[in-house]
Amino acid sequence: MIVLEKIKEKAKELLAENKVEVVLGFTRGTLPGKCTPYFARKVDEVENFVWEEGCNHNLANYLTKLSQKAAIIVKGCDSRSIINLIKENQITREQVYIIGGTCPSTGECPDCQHQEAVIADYKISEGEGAIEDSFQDVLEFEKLSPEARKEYFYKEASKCIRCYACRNACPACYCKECFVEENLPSWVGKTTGIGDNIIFHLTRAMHVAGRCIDCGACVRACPMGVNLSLLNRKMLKDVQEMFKNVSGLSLDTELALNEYKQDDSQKFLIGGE
Amino acid sequence: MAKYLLTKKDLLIWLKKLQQEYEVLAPVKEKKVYNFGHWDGKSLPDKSYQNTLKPPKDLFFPQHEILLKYKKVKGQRPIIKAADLPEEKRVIFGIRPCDAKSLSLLDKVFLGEEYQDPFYQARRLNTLIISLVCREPKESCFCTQPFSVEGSDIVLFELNDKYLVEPISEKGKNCFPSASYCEADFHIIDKIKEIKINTYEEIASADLTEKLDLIFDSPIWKELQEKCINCGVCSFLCPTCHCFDITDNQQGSKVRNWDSCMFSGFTKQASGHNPRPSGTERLRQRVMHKFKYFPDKYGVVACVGCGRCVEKCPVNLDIRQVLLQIKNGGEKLECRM
Ligand code: SF4
Ligand code: SF4
Ligand code: SF4
Ligand code: SF4
Repeated sequence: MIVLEKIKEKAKELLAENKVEVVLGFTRGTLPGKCTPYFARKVDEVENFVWEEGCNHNLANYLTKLSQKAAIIVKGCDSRSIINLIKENQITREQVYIIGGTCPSTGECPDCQHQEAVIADYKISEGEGAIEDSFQDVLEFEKLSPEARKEYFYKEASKCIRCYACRNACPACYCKECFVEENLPSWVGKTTGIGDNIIFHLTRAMHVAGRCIDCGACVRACPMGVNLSLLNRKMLKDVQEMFKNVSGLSLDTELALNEYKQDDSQKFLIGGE
Repeated sequence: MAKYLLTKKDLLIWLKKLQQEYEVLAPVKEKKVYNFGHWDGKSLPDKSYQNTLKPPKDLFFPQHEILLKYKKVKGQRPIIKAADLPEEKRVIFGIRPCDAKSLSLLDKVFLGEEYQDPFYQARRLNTLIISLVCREPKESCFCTQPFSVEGSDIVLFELNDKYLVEPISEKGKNCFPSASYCEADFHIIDKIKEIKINTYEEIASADLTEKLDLIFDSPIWKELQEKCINCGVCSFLCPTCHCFDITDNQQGSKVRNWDSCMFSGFTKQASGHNPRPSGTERLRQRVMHKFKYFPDKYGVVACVGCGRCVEKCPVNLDIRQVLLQIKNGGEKLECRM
């Protein structure tokens, strides 16, 4: 509760002193256990904020669409997405005031290593440090035969109805025109046949490689229960191993795919070293 | 209309009989979720069945469908062949009344005076709809007519271990051997009253349509849509949404695919101009189409209150809340049950 009070206090101050025009956070939703993004523009609207189980959407997603100077209430994953958005010149550091908290959802993301905001202008710390990711799930998955792995991905992708909620909920998917929408040439068919679905998901996974911060927003947004987080986490693990890079932790490091070094690992290429 | 009392065993025998002639589709559970699938010939949806995740519309209007195929032959006229009409005879058992009603709304579009879609028409003609009245509404439901018979050929009520069967249409009457069963007396019919109904006053009422007439340019749309991420969840899972796009594929087919007014590409023109450039115009379109344009044209709102969009919207943008906010002129209302 104390965390929420501090959040509100700060939000009120920022709005009252005209330091920002809008504060992004959550308010209670209309179904049990659900919270919903909330944009407070007046001091008294700040009272509607909540900080509790269910505040799990990745709010960084909205920053690329906001033209106003904004403050944002973040947990670990949102803050990491913000770092990436700044590194990729989608937003500027000055444009956003970050109120950093520790994720109020418990146990929902078993592999989360950064529950606490990693970047903030005002930090409400609860002292939970970062945890090392063991990638146990990926290691187990890598042991399966190629057929078994393919079967898993096909099974998940076959449920997809191509509503693109996963893409639209993802802060890393900010392209003005996504490859799925282009039609001259049409990179991927519009059907929900397994071929089209797999191409959509594999291409998206490649596009967010080295940029995905494993927030899980895509999985939570999916109405059909498609879970391809293993694919994202495999990318995460590969980037970490090959490029010694974990994105969204500091403004001082480049994203793996944003720079080229002569001795970059080529292992991701077929037959590469 | 006459209602007949059947035991669970009677019901199974009757459905089995139908299965000899029809492909029977029923709610099939997989990992806590129901969707329509091939009926196994023995199980009936249990108490955990509230509704299917996907609406039944794709059984009539599939998400993608080949309309025709063409082939270019050098020096000759192209060969064009229309796709074959679907012929399978089907029974859909266990559809909820709201979804059955949604079919009658889709009929207005695909079997209207102006246009008749031959593929949709063939499927509708070949399919018998046996609906199953809900025992208890979901938290996200807001239908006000749980006993609606619209769109159903036969309606079933679940009463503890028995079923009341009410044939509605001619098609339904012909498929139900009423002579083999007893007509239910009023004591039993009275039990229907025990079925729980949501306490919503009608959210989508006439005064809403009037209100919508006045607020096309209102700033309320911008405010309402702010958290929307413009995905296809609410329209793809809506039993009444029916917009589509026709594209060519590399194999020389014209394919019809579902489309959504919430997507930016929906209205994008070849010049690059987009008359609905932002989420504001898109959310307005979704609401206007359902609660203003559709009623203007067909006299009924294009929402049956199934609550799928409420439950599955990734950011909990609740259509009930949107409608209440519009009705109350911007004032926010708590919509929790
Ligand atoms: S791909 Fe999914 S997990 Fe990764 S950043 Fe995007 S929404 Fe988050
Ligand atoms: S949210 Fe789910 S159903 Fe929608 S496109 Fe993504 S994976 Fe497919
Ligand atoms: S708008 Fe929502 S509640 Fe109404 S019919 Fe469509 S999915 Fe159901
Ligand atoms: S499901 Fe929700 S977020 Fe997606 S388009 Fe509909 S209202 Fe917007």
